[in-house]
Amino acid sequence: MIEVDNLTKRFRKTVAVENLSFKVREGAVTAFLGPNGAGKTTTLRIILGLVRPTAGRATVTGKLYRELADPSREVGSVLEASSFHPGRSGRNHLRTVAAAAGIPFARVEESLALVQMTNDAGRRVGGYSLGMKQRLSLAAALLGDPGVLVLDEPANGLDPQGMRWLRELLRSLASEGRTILISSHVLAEVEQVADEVVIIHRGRFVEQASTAELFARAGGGIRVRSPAAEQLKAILEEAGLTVGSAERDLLVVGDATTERIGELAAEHRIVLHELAAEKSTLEEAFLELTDHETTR
Amino acid sequence: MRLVSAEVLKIWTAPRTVLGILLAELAIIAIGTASTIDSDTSSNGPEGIIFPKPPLERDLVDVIDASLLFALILGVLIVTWEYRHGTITQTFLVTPLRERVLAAKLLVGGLAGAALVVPALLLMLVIAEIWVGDRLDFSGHDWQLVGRIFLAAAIVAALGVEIGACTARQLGAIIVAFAWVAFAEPALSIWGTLGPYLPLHAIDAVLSGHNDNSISFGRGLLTIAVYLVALGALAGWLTRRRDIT
Repeated sequence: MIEVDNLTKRFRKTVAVENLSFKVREGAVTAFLGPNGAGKTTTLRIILGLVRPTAGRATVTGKLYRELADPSREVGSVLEASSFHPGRSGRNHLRTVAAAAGIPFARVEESLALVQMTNDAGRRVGGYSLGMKQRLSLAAALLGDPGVLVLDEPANGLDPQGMRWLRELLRSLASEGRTILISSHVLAEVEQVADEVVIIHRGRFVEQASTAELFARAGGGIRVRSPAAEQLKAILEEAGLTVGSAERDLLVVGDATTERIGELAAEHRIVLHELAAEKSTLEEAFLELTDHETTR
Repeated sequence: MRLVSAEVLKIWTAPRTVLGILLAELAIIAIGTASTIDSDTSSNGPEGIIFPKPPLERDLVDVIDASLLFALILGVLIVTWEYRHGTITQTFLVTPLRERVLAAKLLVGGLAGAALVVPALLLMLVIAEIWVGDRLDFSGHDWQLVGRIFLAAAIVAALGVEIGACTARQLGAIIVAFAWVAFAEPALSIWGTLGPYLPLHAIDAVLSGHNDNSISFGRGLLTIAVYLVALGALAGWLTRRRDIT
């Protein structure tokens, strides 16, 4: 659906993106992650035809963005929350977009309702909060009811209530089968909606995997709490497992399952107070992968 | 047609800038009209000696030439305010074929520039009617000159759109335009054969038809059309290549 192929972008001497390739699966929510300055925004802008690549190409449904017959009905995008004329009302901003795209003004009201901005739509955008501007950007992205959404940091400026609203909106949009590419630095938010993750660092590709696969690969270990922790540690190490001690009665065991540890403990009649797989977060997986890239 | 209506809507829904331009224009026209009439009524020589001078009607029509300056500024702003406020991103997302956006802006800019002549003309006529209405008798030639001001305003506004598209910066475009008017063209006018074919001279030929050092109306129109096409091609090329970051 979205295909980035050997993309390179240089701004004079600065290489923003270098030989970047990845595919965004149709109907999936793909998180596009990377530290600040990794080249995420540049990549998204190349996909949307706003920035010319130095080499390579990015296509949406097999076409360059500028080749799309009706871009507003095929791709919706949120890029930055400051792209509004401050003297124009939110409603009129959407009307100018709708007029250019040939979308009926009735759809403007539907989009405003979708982002819960109907009551504030008559006010000048200059008086909007950052969160309200983000909602207005989303309304503009949804005007043409597109099948593909490209969202650059859409949670920026949203309060916790707004974040929850955004998460639910994204889930709802994804459930309708839309393809969503979302860049964010709020990893905790992304991990709740993303099916896949693409990670870049310093303009280069680092990893693409399903969220589940990434969690599994990052691995959190097994937490084992026991009054006989020292004795258990010796038994587990003898069984070839990697064991670390976090506290006096707490062990963290790698490369194992809870079943295997439980069986070994039962075999040696050792009492366990806790036996749980530690769930790693996307943030941990992300940091691990980008740290690894930094030290390479 | 979609793009043209969107461009009209952009002007209509952010009226403060246009109103500011309009008020400044009307102030200049009011001052110009008043000083022209005042100078006409008080410039007879002593003891009944009458100096030859152009008719008042012609001088009053010349006052509304000032609209061209505001048409140029409006043309520049129609493009550069999009870059200044970042709305150009949304504009190019909706219409990725940027040449189409530029073409729509040229059309709307030209029409808006010509439209700016209407309030200037009306204000001049109202002031003149109140002050010296009994003396005024505008001829067909005067109205022909007014028609030429409409045409010149449309051309100048379109040039403003193209300058704005080339620079993409509001202040930069206005500085470029004024630097040309104040320094570049007067300096280049030194070359006698080149002088009449420079942009301002060509516009002057469109406005007045003939001057001491001027080309004909038709040649002036053709010359300015060449400038419009050349600058438009450059503006299109730069707009197409520009990264919107």
